[in-house]
Amino acid sequence: MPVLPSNKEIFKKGLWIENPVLRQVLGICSTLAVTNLVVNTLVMNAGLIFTLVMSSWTVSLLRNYTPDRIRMMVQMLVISSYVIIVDIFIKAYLPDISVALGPYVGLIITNCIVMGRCEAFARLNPPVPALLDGLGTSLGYSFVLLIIAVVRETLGFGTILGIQIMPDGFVKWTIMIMAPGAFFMLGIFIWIVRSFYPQIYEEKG
Amino acid sequence: MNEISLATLFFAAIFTNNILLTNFLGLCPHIAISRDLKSAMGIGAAVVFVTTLTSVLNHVIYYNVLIPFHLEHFRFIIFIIVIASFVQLVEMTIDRYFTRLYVVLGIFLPLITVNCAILGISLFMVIREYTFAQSLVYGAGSGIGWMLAITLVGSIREKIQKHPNLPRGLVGPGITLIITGLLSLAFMAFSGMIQIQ
Amino acid sequence: MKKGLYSVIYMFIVTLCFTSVVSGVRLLNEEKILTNIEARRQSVILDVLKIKVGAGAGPEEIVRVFAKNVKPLRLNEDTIYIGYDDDGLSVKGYAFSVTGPGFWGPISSMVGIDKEYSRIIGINFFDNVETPGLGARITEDWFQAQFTGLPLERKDGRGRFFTLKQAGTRKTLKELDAVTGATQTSEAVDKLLNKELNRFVQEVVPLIRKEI
Repeated sequence: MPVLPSNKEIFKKGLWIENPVLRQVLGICSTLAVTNLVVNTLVMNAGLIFTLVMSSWTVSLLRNYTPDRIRMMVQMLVISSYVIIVDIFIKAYLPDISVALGPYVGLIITNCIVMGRCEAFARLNPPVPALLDGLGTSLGYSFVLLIIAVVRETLGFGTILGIQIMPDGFVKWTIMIMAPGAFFMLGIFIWIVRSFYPQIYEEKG
Repeated sequence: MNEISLATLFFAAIFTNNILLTNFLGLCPHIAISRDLKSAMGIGAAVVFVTTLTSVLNHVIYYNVLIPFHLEHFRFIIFIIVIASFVQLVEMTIDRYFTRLYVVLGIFLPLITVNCAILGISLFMVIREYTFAQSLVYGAGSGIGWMLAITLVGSIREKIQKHPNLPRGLVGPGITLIITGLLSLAFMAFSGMIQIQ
Repeated sequence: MKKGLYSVIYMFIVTLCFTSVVSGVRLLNEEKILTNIEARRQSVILDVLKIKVGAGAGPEEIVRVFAKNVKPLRLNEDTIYIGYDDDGLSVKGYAFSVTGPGFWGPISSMVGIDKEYSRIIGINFFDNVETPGLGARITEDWFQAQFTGLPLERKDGRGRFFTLKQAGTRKTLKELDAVTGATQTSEAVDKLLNKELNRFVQEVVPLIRKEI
């Protein structure tokens, strides 16, 4: 039985070394679409953090009772339930943002990260480490997307969180708010990070 | 009620509103699969089949079962169960009748279930209030659009990966994303083709 | 056998638990969600009829004002909203929705016209998928405000009600500023609004006159 890393290490792992976006390029579908506005990204991140943390915790709590054959169905049920709760919450209290986010909140269900962590970690570990793993991973993910959102909104709209920060004469880079902008931003971000930290991120072989 | 014409919808789903290039869905398998053109086309074909039929199936279930019983908020769970079951069915069929194809596609088939694009198509269908016919056309078009995107990126990628001067930081997902971004940019040009009647 | 049975029962119980929790959360928030959806639609109608709602009003307030001042009227396939003055008796104007093809996708707008069917009170482009920062600027105040006061008259009863011209080149009352850099969207709006306003004046107004 290998020695479990300390809880603190588990938490930090998700933030940087095993950052889901930078390291494994997973789960970007649902959030890339909304990174053209910082406020939407923040709400989306909150939804993902809630879902991943609660799902990891729940799957871990149930791990000794869940028969192996149906574990994927149970995980899916757990994740879907939390996502629905997030969706209901946003619809009730942030209706305008709900319309802006569209179907992307629901797509947290198919976000590879959520299912990946549940399958790889949460179902094999006690609740507290599982919870910390979920928290670290989702925060790592959120931080990457937040940076992309800040750049996209600044260059594309000239604002951050709706507050004008670029001078009046600034010509907006509309391409940043549209699909290609997101792809380029993420590609460049990964490029930069991998260039500065090759020892951590380099693909083996 | 959405009044868009079927032909325009089909064209838009493939080109101007491409599920991958415009809506960012279906990226995870894309980065893994588009490396190899042959498997890209195989997976693409399977996805088209799945998207068309699940889109229609989910439409029927949503409007005939979920709404009358005020269970719309459960659509997330129901849709994904439908998709998972359907993919299971496809997997069993391919295994039985096209065994060689099954060996090639192998691990990728279960990945179709978590292809965000498929769930996304059903969710968009609900949000935009498409009719039955529109759902069919939208599902088919989106699937074809996805397949088109990954085969195009895949073929470009095959050529670039061999280039000796590719910066190390870009190998793999980095360059794939940039190629995808350029393709997304190119597809934006299609928007001028739909005539305003 | 026992393992299989356990799996089934377990799945059943877990499903029951989770769907109950979800349903519970939904029930608690149902009213709020429905009010939000209603208020969203209704605030657009109130806006084009220029019926004032207090600044910073919440969804409940919007629904209240709507219920007091607006009455829907179904005419065949169209629904017209009749707006009343505060006394609740005299008609202020009519609102109806107009949808047509834009550049990237359909554009939906709500148009309010006065009670004599003679001019536009207000317009609101509440749904579109045009280019953000370019075509999508049709939702901005300056663009929509141009339509307020636009007379619904044409030469000999034919032709356009208005034309969108390049910003800064308008000469007559019937020319309005297009969105700079968004030629396609502006053209689409020009075409669809003129066509639908024409249809409204020709087909729907006589029906309204009959009802009232």
